[in-house]
Amino acid sequence: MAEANRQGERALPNWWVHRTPEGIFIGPLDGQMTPGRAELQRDRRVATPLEILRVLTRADFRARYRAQALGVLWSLLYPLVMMGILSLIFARVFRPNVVHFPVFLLIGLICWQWVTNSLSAATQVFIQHADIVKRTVFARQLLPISAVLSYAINAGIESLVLLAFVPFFPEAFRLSPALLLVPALLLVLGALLCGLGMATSVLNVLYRDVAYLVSTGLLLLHWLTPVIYPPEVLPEPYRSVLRWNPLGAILTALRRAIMLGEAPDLLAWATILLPTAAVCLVGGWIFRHYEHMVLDYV
Amino acid sequence: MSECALPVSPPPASLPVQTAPDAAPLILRFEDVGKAFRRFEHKPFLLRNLLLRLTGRAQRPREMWPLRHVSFVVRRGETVGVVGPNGAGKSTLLRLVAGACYPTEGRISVRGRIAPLLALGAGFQPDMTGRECVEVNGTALGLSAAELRARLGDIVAFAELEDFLDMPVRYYSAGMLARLGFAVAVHTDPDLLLIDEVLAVGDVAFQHKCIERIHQLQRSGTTILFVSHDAATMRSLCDRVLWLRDGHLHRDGPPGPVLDEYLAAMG
Repeated sequence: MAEANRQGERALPNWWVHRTPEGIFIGPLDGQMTPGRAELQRDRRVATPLEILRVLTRADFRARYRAQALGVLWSLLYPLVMMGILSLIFARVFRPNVVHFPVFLLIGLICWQWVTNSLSAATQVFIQHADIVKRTVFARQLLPISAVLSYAINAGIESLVLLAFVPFFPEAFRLSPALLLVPALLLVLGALLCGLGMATSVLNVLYRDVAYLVSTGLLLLHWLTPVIYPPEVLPEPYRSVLRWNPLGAILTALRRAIMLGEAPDLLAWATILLPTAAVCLVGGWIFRHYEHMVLDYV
Repeated sequence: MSECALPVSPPPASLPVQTAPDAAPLILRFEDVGKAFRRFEHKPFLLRNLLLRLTGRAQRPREMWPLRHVSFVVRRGETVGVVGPNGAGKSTLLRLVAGACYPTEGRISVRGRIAPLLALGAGFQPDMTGRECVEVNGTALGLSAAELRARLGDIVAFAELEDFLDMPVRYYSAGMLARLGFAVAVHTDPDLLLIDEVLAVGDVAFQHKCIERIHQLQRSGTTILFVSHDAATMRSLCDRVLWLRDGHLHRDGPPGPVLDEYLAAMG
């Protein structure tokens, strides 16, 4: 009853939320001033985006490994096994011109795991969470973003394996100021994945084909991105074109920062940031444009 | 939707409502609202239809209006029932208020926190535990992390699920899911509570508990919008009844006369 009393005293917010075919708007009460931003932010009737993101990501991550004996260890196994196989094959058969090839591979494979897993998850996120989406109002952009974040936790755990390799390949790791760029590069990679995920998540509700398109596209992208080969093996016209693939550019920059202690040059930053910004803008536009249709079709 | 991030609209040109000084403030306003769905037999996304559309030979998709030209207001503290036969647009109306879909025409205005009890028991992912479901749903309904921590005990006690909180909900029975869903929604301190025929679930004891909780919310000033086929419950709970027929608002008045007329019309 105490709770009920407190609730009875609480005032309604001093503004309307208008829902129209064009979208959602804040409007003033009849005969009053338009509420200021500070006033809107004081309102505690909505959870902040960060709170929603935290809860969604944690629940998603924990639910994924429920009823599994090894749980998150499975995500360690895959890059390790791949690394073992590929190191053997490449070392024997193709003789790549890369020093410390296992470390080179592991960095690529960990990032690529993040890319494939988070994009596949983000594509399905509206269908998976259809019930919450149909019943509640919150910034639904947070759903694909939380899918990307929950696989970022996996990538973080897998990076510990990379650390475990430091004693075995001491010369493969260069302690340098360039290491400070690694979090920034991972942040850019995360933004890129969020941009892609926002687009695929809404499109997959309208056309369920998109999930297949994404898995096929990822397979193609895997070979167009220098994940398991160095970009130097590509012949020239292709190499100049493919360097604008932001995934490959980020991977190369990460490897250079970790293994050589080199910061990306201006052109490298351009090949990382420009395509990423474009993907995020287009992905955000697609999301906004189709979100209301998604609510009818999901 | 985080309301802080929303664009602020210019003041509307004319507002059709004049507020009496002693009346409670408006909490919900429908202005000529309509909602259209494309009919599903059209399958607008099939490749064949896409090609037809590109060549300009496709027919326009047939539209269905489960709700059209609906205008009404709800004042703070009112309990408003919605009646109508199946397909009259009751659930669409509640979904529109909840914000789970956008109107195709008109404007819906709301103030405050809304808690919907639509299609109870859903909204949960089978692999999440009861605790995670409460967290995800409570947060999506607007509870902050601190509020959630403070209320988790009340929610679980209300749902009578203390022993099952850390069990994945795939092992819950339908009744347990329904109780959890109801418990979360009524503990979010809603300004406006939406109830869609959910009192039919759960055993008699839990139904009584729900009705008791609804009475308690009413006393504390919560506005309630309530869809049910149960005329007796409606008479005892509601201050006003809206009767929807074929997507239009047919009657809007006190529960006694409107329900008598409705029951007579339905035979």
